[in-house]
Amino acid sequence: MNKTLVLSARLENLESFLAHVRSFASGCGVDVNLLIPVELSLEEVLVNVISYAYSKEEPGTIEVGCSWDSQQNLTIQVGDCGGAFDPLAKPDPDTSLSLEERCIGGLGILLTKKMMDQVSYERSQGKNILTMVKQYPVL
Amino acid sequence: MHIEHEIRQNIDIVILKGRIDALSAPGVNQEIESVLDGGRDKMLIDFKKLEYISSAGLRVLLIVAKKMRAVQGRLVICDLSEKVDEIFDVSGFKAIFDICATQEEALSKFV
Repeated sequence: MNKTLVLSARLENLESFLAHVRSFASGCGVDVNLLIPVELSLEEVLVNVISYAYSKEEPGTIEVGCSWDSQQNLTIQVGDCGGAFDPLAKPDPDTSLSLEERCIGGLGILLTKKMMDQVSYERSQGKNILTMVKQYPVL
Repeated sequence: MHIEHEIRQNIDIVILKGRIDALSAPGVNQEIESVLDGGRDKMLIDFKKLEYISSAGLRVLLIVAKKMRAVQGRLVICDLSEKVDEIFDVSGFKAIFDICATQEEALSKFV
C-alpha cells in the first residue's frame, strides 16, 4: 500500500501532512497512540524543509509518501525540490553540555534519528528525499 | 490555548496542554515570557495535560530555563508522560532540568 500527499511548503500545512500519515497508519492497523515518534520525526523533517528548502517568496511543494510492508514497517518519505541538502550530514548537538553551554535549537534531526528505526537521505532527479522507517509489532 | 497559569504560594504554575509543535510553540513562548517579564523567579511547569512536544517546544523550555538561570530563579517541571520522558532523555534535558513526578513534590522544592 502506498499513498502520497503533495502540498505547498508552508507551516500551516503541517497538520495536514501529519493527519495524512496518521490516517494511513491507522488504516494499516497501527495504534495511533504509538505514532508519536513518527509524528515527531515527520514534524522535525517538515519544519526543516519548510524553513530552508525554498525562498519565502516562492515556496515550492513537499510530498509525503507513506507505505506499509509485510514486515510491519511503516515507511515515510519526504521529498522536496529545493537545493541539495542532506540533513543527516550535520553533526548531532552535544546533549551532555550544561544549561549555560547548550545552544537553543538543533535538536530536531537528532530526535528523528533516535525515534525512528532507520533514516536515510538521497538526492535523486533534482529532489531531496528523506526516508524514515519505523517497525510496528505484529498486532 | 495551550497554557493554564495560576499562582500558588507565590509560585507561577504553568500547565501545558495538548500539542506543543512548531505551530503552537511561538504562542506558548510568548505566554511564558510575559510571566517572566513581570520579574517572577519561581516557576513550576506541569506536563500532566501535555500530549505531544516537538523540538520547537523543547526550544521554548530551554529559553525559559536559561532566563530563569540568568535571574537566579528556580524552575521545576513535573508529571512527564512516558513518551515525553523519552524525548527528554534523548535530548539530554533530564540532566539540565529539575524534574519531579508530581506537582506536590515539585511545589515542595520551592520551600
